[in-house]
Amino acid sequence: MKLTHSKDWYARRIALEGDADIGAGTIAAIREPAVAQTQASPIDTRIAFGTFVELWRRNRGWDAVKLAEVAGVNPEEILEIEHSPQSEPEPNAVFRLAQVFEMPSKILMELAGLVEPRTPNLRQAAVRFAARSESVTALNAHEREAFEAFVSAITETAQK
Amino acid sequence: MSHYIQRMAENEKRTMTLNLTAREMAVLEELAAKKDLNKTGVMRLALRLLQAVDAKIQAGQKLMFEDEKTKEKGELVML
Amino acid sequence: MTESQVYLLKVAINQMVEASLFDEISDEHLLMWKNTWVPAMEAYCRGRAEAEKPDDSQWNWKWKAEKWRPFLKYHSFSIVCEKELQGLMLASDVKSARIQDQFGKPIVYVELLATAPWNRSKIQKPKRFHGVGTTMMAAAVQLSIDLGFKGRVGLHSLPGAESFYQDDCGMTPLGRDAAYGNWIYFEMTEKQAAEFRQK
Repeated sequence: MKLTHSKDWYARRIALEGDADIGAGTIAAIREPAVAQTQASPIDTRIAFGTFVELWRRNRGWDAVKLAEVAGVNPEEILEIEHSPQSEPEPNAVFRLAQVFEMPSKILMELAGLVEPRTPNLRQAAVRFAARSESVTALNAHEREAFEAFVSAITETAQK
Repeated sequence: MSHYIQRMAENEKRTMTLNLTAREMAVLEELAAKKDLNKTGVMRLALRLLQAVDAKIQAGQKLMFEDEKTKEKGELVML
Repeated sequence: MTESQVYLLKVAINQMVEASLFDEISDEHLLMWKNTWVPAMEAYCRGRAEAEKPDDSQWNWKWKAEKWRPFLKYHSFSIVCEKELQGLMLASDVKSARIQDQFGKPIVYVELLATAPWNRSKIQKPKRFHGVGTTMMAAAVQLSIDLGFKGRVGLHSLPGAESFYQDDCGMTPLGRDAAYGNWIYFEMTEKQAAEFRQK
């Protein structure tokens, strides 16, 4: 099945959409077991952790190699942190990054899924942050805002 | 890549000759007119329905019709 | 699986951006659902009363996919934009129209339609993209045409989305449906479909 509407068609129709949250469905639709409450899967916060690392260094105008150099870790480690949430980062690398970022290491360790989650709302803040961030080369205003909100959320929680 | 090719192959059209009695053909044409479909459309609809109904029956359910007014239920067919 | 170029409105820059509509929900799309929609939805729902949670917060698309895939009657669609999953839809093709003028004629019935958590003002203000609903409706109508159903579509609206279906898509409301959570059933006629495709 192929759609062939013009860009103009979408522009005109989408303008009508307004702010409503759109959906459809029925309770009678295929019933299923409820989505299992994720037992704080480390991958969820690791996605945010990787995004955070990437945005932090891009905010400085650094590439992965430069960050690796400053932190004293392998560039591969940085790339893995940024792009492979399914693999567990080296605790030492996370510790060194915390120092470079001047952030509490225990918070970063938690985000990296290396220690048991114990900071309330950290995961929530991390997931919101990751959902709002995008990969473009320069931080746009949207990303900067998300990034700064996340940093203050982390520092706030750490101070409690 | 092979998954893509497999799906492509699955959706290719195949041709079949259908041997129906005159009476069956009349019913097919009547349904086509009613449903505003061509005869192929009616056959495809029938196939989908049969597949769906059969799965439910295999799973132990029954195909029932309910009278909207009296709420009386009656079994459609033993498949 | 066919990919169509569609457009969404990116709110942050207030411009139309290219997106892809797929006429299938693939395993890759389901993985994106699990890794991005589920955590975002969970984060939103945590600590909220049941009444505040979105109606589809418990929809398990992966589980559903395993159930619908063997059947000819189901058609699934996904929208991807900026490499992220923006919308999902499941439709079926064996239900019949209820509007008097087309009573008994087959329709495409939208079984499930959901947009990503970040595209809902209830969850995120401002939302990231507008247009998932419009694009999915376009897909449902096109599917209806491809099947020979001339654009006839039916669905039960999620509460809050009724004016989109009635005013923006031009569908006819047929009242609350006790069999379907008391949500309002909408139907699109051939004529309404033609208008929808033109406007």
